[in-house]
Amino acid sequence: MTGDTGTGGSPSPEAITALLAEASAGDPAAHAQLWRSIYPDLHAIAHRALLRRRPGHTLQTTALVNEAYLKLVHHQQADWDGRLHFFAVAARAMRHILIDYARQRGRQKRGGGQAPVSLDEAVAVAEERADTLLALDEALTALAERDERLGRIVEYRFFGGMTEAEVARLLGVTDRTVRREWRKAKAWLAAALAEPPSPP
Amino acid sequence: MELLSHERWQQVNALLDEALDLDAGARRRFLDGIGDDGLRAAVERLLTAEAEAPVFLDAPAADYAVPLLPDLPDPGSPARGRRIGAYRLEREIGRGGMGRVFLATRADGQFEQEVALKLLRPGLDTDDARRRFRTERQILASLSHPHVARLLDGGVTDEGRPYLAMEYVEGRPIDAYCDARRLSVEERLRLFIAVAGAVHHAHRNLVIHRDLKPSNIVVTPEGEVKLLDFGIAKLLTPAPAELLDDPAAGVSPTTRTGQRWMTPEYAAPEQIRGDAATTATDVYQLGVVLYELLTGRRPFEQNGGGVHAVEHAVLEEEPEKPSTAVSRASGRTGRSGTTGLDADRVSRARRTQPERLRSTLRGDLDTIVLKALRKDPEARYASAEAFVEDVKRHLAGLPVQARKPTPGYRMQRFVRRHRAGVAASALVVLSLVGGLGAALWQARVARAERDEAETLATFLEDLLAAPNPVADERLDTLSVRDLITHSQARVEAELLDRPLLQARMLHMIGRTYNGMHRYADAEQVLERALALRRAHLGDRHEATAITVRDLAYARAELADERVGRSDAAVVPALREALAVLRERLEPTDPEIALTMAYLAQALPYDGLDHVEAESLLHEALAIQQMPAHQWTGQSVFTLMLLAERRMQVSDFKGAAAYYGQALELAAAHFGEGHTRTASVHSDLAFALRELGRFEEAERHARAALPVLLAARGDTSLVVNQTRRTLASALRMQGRYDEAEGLLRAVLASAPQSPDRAVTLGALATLLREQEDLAGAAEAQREVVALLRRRFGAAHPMLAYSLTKLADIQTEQARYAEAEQILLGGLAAWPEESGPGRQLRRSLVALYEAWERPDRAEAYRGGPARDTASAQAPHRAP
Repeated sequence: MTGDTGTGGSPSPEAITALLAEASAGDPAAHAQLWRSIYPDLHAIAHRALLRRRPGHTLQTTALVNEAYLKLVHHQQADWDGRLHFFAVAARAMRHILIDYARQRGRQKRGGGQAPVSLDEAVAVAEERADTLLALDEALTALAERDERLGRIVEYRFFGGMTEAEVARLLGVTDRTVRREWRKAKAWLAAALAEPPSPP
Repeated sequence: MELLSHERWQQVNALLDEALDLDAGARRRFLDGIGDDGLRAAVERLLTAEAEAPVFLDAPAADYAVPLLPDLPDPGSPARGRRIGAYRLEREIGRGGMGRVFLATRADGQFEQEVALKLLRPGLDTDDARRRFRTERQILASLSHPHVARLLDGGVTDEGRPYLAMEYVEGRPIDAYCDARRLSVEERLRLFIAVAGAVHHAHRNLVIHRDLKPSNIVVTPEGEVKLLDFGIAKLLTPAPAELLDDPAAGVSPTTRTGQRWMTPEYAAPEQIRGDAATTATDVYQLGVVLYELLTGRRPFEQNGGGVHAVEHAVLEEEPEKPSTAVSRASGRTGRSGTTGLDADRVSRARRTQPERLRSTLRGDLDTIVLKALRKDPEARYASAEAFVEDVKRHLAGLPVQARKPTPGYRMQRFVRRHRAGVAASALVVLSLVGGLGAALWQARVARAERDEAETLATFLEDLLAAPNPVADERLDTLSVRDLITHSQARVEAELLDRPLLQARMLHMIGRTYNGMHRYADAEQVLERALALRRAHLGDRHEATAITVRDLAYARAELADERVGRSDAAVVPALREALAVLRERLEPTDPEIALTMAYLAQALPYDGLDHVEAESLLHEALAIQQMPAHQWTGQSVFTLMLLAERRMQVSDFKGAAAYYGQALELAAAHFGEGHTRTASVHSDLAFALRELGRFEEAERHARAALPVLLAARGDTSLVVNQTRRTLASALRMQGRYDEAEGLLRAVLASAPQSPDRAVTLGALATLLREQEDLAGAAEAQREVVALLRRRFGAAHPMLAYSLTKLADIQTEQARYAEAEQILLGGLAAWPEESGPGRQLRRSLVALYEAWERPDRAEAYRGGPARDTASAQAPHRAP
């Protein structure tokens, strides 16, 4: 592993660009390395962006990932496929980040003890959404076991904020296929979420 | 989703590919073609799920996850002792989507004051936003109401974070407070009235809360309601213009403002859609709060379905009736250990049992709450005030506006209302006049409100004056009179520029006066109403005609009161009114029927007039007994007039039949405790006594008496009449002591009563039967004196009373005195018929008792030729 810089410091843009090329060429080891390399930075970028957000404004996941990409990757050297691969990794990273937040929320809830005064409904919303996200994550894992491509589409579209065209390009299929597969994935997830929470 | 096997999933997957692109019909055919039932079910389930997939899946997950992100970067976290503006933070007392709340004290040494300081998320990064924040803050700071926690101060910290200092309120959220104190439904409603009243005050000051929920409504240990966070939600959302002008932020104009700190369970549909909040939004949220206070549940709850499911429900589903919601609570098994609400606990917290709670909520409260929760803001109560009014009306036992007035409902309300008693009636009118004042205020504001004022006027009209002319006498109390006078003054002062509405209100007040037997006041007000309507609508308008009619009614009663005879102008006026109404209205309009009844009442009791009167009454009755009009109760009035007509021609059987019908209707419409029902009882007793059915007569008189006494006092003529009827029925059953006691009570209670002669006559009869002839004679002599004074020497009534006096004297063996009276009578009434015949009969009896058979023979009934001899009684044959 030429690019293995460990988990201590940030790898150089050149190293990451090389990893991207290897990973997008299908090297699983490169992919794992890539993940370890960019996840902390991506997490930090996402976290800051999330905290900077303004009331009532939506968060632009793609802008965020773009920012990370520009920071982490030597983009002049990276090709389109490499870039898409980065986005795929970023989508997975977003999933982890958000599910992590959801877990923390869940722990807070179970920890309890907080006396809410008038603003507590927002807390309730948060808890509800945390529960939903955790359930969704579970359903998504199950879905990916049955149909890996559907699982990836959910990750790219929902967590990664990618467009149909971007997903199609990344998966090497037509836009139309992505659209149809996305509908099927949503059907699966919706059916799973409509179920009462129960051990699978 | 149960896990499908890989193989199964492949099958399902392939079928889905085909099915997804089909339309509904083709899909059904496609599904029908799947032979394997299990496979078919799985595909169908996924297709359904796809159609109902939560919308949040179509937006990036980060948006959805925003509320669960950490509040603030840790480094900037405020700590105890930190100064913000003029305040020093003491401790954190809450946190949420908006930011954090601290207990803080003033740190500038000005004065000791505890405040709730809300430190908000950053976000005021443009001059524009800061300016707007300041403006809004000033508006909120000007909001002063005892039930609204005041905004004291506000500003922006050095880091650009806005903060607000609010009045610090120690208390519990209203739902927890109610449950802890086990407040009854009624107590909860009274608390809610205070809440909604405060919201209305804010609305009048152009402030919308936008985030009403129990945790924002606190009750202090003293039981005082305080609303928190008024208008804060708006303060924290970017202005729409700002969103549009800020493409760099990548914000779409449809961003759901305020969504982040809004719980979907309390959100109005328009808030979920991202539309602007209005006063109707607060009305909706008040509805949710009331729902929860009453049932312990929210109309749309998150039961594992997730936020999107709640949002979907708020937008698309109809909430359960509160009465159903509390029913369901018991049968519900908490899913995955969630809310284990059960009906027992909910009802215990309301100091009642499940079944009682259900029946308390069923009906009005269901309707009131659901009206506030309508999806369409237009369909909700027009204001928080209208909402409050309906709750008050419910508490007072009045018909609520939210309900369509179905016949059964009106009846039920009347029954309930009149069981409530005098105090409740006063309360009813108080709240009505309160509402009237508000309606007038609104009338000047906008067209929508104007329509509401019209509606209210109609409502008042119905309520206070519809059962004219025998309206509820309980209204005739001093405080109520003052209130009516007060509203009259307001109508005259404030509606000068709206003559038609003014006329309508004056007319309504006039009818109310009629119902209260204040005919002079009624005449004055109705004359003004009539002048306005003649000027603005013309003579041939139905509203003018109805005013003419009601004025004629007042004048007829006034003439009767003042001079004891009819006003010659009344019948022509009523005929004119009837002609116009027949021309302008449907032939079966109840107004036509009522006018016919009034006219029939005013027509004399003889000849063709009497025939016409009865025919008018039958016609009126036919209209009033049509199913659509049955609720008005006016047929009771018509039936009583018919019965009176029958009484006049001594058809007591016919009269009793009409009274019987009237009684049945009155009991159903007004209830047994109502004075109108009691009056029918009384008149029926009279007819039954005439028919010799004394026990029945006694029963009906006894049913009438306590109600009439309570309503009218023991000096009223109706009470006297009823007591006499009862006395007579008792006398005929040989119960003399009771009967005498009743009659003496009448004489003692109102010595100057115009019916004194009638009571004395009854007493004379009673005493005579008990062989107290001296007492009887004394009473009867007073009768004669009273009648002579009242009617003069020529009235037939006098002849009858003289005859009776002479009869008593005959029994006393005071023959000479009796003879003198009777011969004097014959001189005045020489005819063989009528009084003359009575006099002759008594003379015969006298002479027989006196043992003067020759003289007796001279006065025995016979042909007219005996008249000459009768005129010479002392002449020997």
